[in-house]
Amino acid sequence: MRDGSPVKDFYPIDFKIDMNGKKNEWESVVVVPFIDEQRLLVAAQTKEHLLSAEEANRNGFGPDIIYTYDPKLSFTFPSPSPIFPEIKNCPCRATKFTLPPVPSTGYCNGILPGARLGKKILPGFPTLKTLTFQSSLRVHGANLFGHDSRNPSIVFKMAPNAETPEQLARKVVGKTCFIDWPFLREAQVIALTDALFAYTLDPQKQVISTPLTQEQLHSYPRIMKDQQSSLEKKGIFTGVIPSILHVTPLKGLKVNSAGGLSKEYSNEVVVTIPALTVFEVEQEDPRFVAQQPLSLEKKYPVGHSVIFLAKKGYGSVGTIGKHPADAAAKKLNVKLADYHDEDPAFLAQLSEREVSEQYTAIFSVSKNLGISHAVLNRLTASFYVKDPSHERVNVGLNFKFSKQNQKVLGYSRRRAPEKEQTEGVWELSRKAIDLIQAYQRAFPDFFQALEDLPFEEKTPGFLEVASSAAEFQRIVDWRASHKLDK
Amino acid sequence: MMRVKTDYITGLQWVLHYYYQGVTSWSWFFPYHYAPMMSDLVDLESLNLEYSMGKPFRPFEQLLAVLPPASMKHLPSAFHVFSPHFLSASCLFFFFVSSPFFLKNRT
Repeated sequence: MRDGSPVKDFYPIDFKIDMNGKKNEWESVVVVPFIDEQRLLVAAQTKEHLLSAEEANRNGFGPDIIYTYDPKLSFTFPSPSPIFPEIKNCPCRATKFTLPPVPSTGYCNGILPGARLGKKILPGFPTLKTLTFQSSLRVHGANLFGHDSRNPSIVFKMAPNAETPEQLARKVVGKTCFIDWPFLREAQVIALTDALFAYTLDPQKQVISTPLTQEQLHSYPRIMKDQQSSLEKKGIFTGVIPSILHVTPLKGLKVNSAGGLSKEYSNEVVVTIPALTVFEVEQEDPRFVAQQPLSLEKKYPVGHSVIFLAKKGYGSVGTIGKHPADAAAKKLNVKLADYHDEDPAFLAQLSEREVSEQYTAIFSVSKNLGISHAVLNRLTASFYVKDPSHERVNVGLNFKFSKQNQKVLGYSRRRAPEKEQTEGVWELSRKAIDLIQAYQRAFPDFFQALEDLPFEEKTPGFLEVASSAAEFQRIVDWRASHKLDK
Repeated sequence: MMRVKTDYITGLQWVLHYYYQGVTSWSWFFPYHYAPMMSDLVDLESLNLEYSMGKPFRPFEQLLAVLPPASMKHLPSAFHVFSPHFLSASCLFFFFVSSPFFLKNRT
């Protein structure tokens, strides 16, 4: 029967392996016959009636299946093979997935209409279109990697500014501008100087002009000339530079004393020229927009559970009570469940500190400390490990309780969800980060073991995270010494 | 030589088309064990590249085309008869459309 196979020549046992000049066997050319599609199909067809119903069903094209987590489901998925165990309490839902139909217009090959390009490009992406210039290709000797290019380069001639330095100064001094064209970095204009005057803001925010000092009279024209010639080396022609800008670049956003976000500018003054500075953009970068502080009502909703970390009442659980009428006092009414003290003064002090302290989003912390997001998320919550006697022991830092939506004052907080987010981002205070770092420094092997732990493993055994029972005990003791449980 | 050259370039074009647009032929394969020399790939503008769409193999046909006899156990028993030396040798059959480039050197 077997020798009667109509396609036995497709399956030879003797065939040539041509090393073809290569060293390793896997680099060789395996000279086996090519398969004739028609003959294979005909042969397969003759045996198809012998397939079981299940096999026949598998031998075809089916829909795509999308598997999703459904907490409401819990069934036992039988094992399809003796190699794998069955899956108990399986919360996986399988649904047919049909690709959305191609619109009648078909696919667009290239840029879609309405795509944001040029001046309208999303903030943070570079574009040359924010300034006006003429470009041409010519042999110029533009400096490339420290050498003058012998071939033609694209050179730019910037459009001259029609305004006099004084007119420009009245418009831009004290305002924001964007330097480092074409990348556009936000900065604040401190002063504009021409060959004779410095234009600055007086305390009443009025632009005033003061004559340059002797020294400035001497140095500023040279700065202008230097700027011009160094730009020309790069192939950017500005013409004679009539004025220079003194700006402080934006460093980022800072939580201000009121609890809002305000722009923080560098102390370092950068010199740039108006011809390469953008004064107006189509859209402000949403990453650097100042924000009003959240009201106490929003930040501490009435009824929210909190845990105290001040000396008095340390670790007490409380509930946010009705907010005082005087919001400016930044005081909270908190009902404590298991702490009784006549003097509520420390509460006010606590809330002050909370609003002024700086918090870092958990994903930034993860990046800074070199701990994966998954591990950090587990460690900052409760994280249970089975100890040698199979008891569940918490080795997490208890900073956040996502399910209960509870935070730990002074250590963690959760930002209100933004658009299209279902959950707010967790943020950690300096104090919390220091503690994580101390934990990491004390037990580097433990942290590494956590990284290697499969994500789905909810309660690992102690040997999966520590080399020995003694080592695991040291972790538990360290954690206990920091009084993390309420 | 003209045929090897045409088939090779047809293969390169198949791959590019596959990545940028999708499958252009299910039945195409490179019908040689050896690639042409780089220096043979000249006068390419005159080549006429043709594809016929064909049909994809169904799962078991695909496996019959690519599995060596030693792996026949992964197919339903109905197909075991095709390989007279089932469980004896190990070799690779390459039929899958892109295999001439990517699989041909595996043992």
